[in-house]
Amino acid sequence: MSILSIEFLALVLGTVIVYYIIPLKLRWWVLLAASAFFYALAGWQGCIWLVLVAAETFLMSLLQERLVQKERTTEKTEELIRKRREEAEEKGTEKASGEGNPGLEDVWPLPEEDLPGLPEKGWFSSARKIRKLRKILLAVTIILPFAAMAFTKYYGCLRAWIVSMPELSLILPLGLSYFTFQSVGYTVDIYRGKYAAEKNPLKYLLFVSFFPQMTQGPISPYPQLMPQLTRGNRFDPDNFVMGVQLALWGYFKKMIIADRLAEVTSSVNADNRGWFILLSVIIYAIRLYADFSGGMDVIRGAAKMLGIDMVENFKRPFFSFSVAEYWRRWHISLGVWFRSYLFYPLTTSGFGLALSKLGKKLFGKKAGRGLPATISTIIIFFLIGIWHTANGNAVIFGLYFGLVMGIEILLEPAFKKLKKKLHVNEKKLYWKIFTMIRTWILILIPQYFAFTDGPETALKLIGNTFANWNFEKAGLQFTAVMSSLSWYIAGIAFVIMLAVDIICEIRPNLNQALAKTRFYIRWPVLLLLILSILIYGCYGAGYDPTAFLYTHF
Amino acid sequence: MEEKTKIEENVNKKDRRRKRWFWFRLAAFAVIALIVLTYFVYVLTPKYPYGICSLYNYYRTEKGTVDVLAVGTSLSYTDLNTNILWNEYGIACYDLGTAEQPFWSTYYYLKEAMKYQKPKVVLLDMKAISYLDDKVDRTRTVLCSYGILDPVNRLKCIYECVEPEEFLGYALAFSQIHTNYVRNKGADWVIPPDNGGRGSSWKGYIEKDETADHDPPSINFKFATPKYVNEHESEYFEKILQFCVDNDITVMLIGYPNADYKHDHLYYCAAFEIAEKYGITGINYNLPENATGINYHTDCADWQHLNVHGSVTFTRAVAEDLIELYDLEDHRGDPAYASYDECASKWFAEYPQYRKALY
Repeated sequence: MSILSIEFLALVLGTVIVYYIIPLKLRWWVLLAASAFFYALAGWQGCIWLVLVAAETFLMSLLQERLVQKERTTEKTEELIRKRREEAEEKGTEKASGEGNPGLEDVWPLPEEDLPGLPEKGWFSSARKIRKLRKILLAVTIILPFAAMAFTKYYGCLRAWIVSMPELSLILPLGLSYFTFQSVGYTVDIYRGKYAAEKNPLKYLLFVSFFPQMTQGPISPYPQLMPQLTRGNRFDPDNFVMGVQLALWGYFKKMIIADRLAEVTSSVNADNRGWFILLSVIIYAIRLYADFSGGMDVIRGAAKMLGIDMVENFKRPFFSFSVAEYWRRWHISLGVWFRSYLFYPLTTSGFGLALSKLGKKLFGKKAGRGLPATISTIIIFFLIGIWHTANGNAVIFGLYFGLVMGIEILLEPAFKKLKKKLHVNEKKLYWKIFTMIRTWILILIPQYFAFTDGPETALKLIGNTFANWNFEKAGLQFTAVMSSLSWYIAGIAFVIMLAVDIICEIRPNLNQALAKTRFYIRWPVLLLLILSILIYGCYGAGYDPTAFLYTHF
Repeated sequence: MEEKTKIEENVNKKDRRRKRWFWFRLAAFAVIALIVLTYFVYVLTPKYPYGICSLYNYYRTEKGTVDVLAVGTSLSYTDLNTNILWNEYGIACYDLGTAEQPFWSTYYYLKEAMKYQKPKVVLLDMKAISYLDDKVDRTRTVLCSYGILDPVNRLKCIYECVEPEEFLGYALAFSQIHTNYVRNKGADWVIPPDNGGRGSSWKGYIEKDETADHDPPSINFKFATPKYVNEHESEYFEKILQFCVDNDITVMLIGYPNADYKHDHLYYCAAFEIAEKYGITGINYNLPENATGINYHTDCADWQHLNVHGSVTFTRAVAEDLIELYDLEDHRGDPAYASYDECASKWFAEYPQYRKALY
């Protein structure tokens, strides 16, 4: 069920109505039923997959939690024993002083109330062993769903290279990576002992399958989403209005801007030349933003109507002053996930420390310190690249961003020095404009790889961009790909989106401000929004709907 | 403690008031939005001469004035000239046909039409009996139903026209018509529509000025074994007949002459056979015994429709039959029928060659 469909609107509306009329305690059941219904429509294979992932992570998390407790009590016991040994040593008992370190039997028996647990043999005989066991279990918990996901996602690509592999008709479940990332993230947090594991399997299933986020995320952290899902929210008119407004704004971006511009980006081919390619690449970036952030607004709006705040996934990324900042504003929840569950472990692990040592040797103290972060960034962006698709373009796309950001990290001390020498004031407008344009250029280059089908085409298009900048037939080139009227509509809608983004950059709570403003201001705005979506949106008869670009992950 | 309870009570009261006010405003917004959206559906619905305007205009015709109501396909609004009927016979007739109208549409049109007029006779075009599709594959046929005022009738009509999975999209209208903003003209924004410049007195007749040379349909009329008729069409054909029987509406089946008749003949025979069960009959003007004096070489606009000259000739023949079969009054001169006069005068001003000196 596409979130653009009437069926989705009906599902949201029906869920909202039923949710608010039944008792508070039962409200999470409505969300679970709606999610089950939504997901069941996407196919039974996906349901099985989802339930298996949820069951695996749920059970493993419970086990992890028990092991965490066991580890803690064992640690305490060990600590107690250590203390007793020290005490025994200090007391200088005859046996202890005569025969070296005291054995357990020497300090035994201890008063029972002092002991939170007793050491056992095997895996539970020491905290270190339990930690090892937990690590193994965590690895299994992570590897199983990720391996299955990788197999489903990349088998087709592998088969393209290795023809001898048998043909399998694998079905990619809806929102596979989103619910896998979310549930794995939860398990890792339980492993880290961040919070208590969920005891109710159905509530956990709701956390994994909450229907608005199944199409394109966001990847919500458990402590942020779970309480909102299960507490039973009271109806709040402001939340409802804000939700409607947000969803409408999402539809505006997706249906008027993204889908209209799809005509332009799909018409570019390797034979094009000059400025039109550059324009198409810029348009592709705008389309991608309008598509993904629009879909996200619809999702967040639907959840908001139910009194649930979902994490923001976009914060006007084109206003970034660096590529790193761009990635902190673009697909935020994915970035946060990789930072929390991959970047930090990589940089703080033995691998990271070894890299740091090596870096210090190679680049000196200051720059060398950045080597683990650089290498981890490259690895992460490589993974983000192939997460999109397993092809050459995706690898180049990921590695490009990884390298750019890695270099940014490595050269940061040098840049700082240079800026100091040149007396650059970072707060000045000229510098902001310069860094913003620099970021745009750096972001635009990989877009060549994002919207073409192979590295050869992308490279050819990059080459062709600098050839034959002829504006003589500009009008014809424009109208060849899209009618003049469509250009005007897309242009006006883009200007509106830009204006709203600029306002949001200054005043981020524009949605709330509109919800609280006088009705004679809000109503015309909403009516205009509804009418423009209904009239100028790309949908309905004679229109081949474009799927959300981020639905197939 | 008491003070705390009072404060809590006040907060609750405030919250309740706030929510009540919210629901009131939401309802008001919904009403305004519905009005605005309905208006935009009207603006965006193409008002080409395929029948939708005749439905819009039907509601504006003075109540109780229509004596003859012609329903059915485009044949009914191109062949039956309401201006001739009025001018020469004083018969108050309205053409409520729409292009390629299947019987299921006709059924809901008729149900809707009967709420506003009590015609003495309904002329039911038989062309739809020859249609083979279960559903309508031409959007304009569905679009015509957007003119039906009664929402239940409209939705039922749309439901019968399209596949179930497409119903919602058509029912909400915008998904079918929103791209028409490209073709919108100033006249589309005006309520009521100007009916292609014909004005509000117009009675549904749409003239075709072209001439196409055709041979009369070559057919062995003796061979009349009914052909298989589409079940959906025959179901609604019977529903129409039953509806008319139940509501005491006089129906006359009418076979409009068309050059392509040879393909329809056996279907028409089937229709007459079905109608017989309901004690309903009619006239098939394609049969030699019912010849109307049409010259297929000069009176056709295309392979199916008559041109203006053909419609004048044909209408005169139909008028004679109507007068003979039904007790139709001559309303000429009656001030209640002024709009018929106005409509005919406008038309004859355009086509003076067809005006007969009557007085």
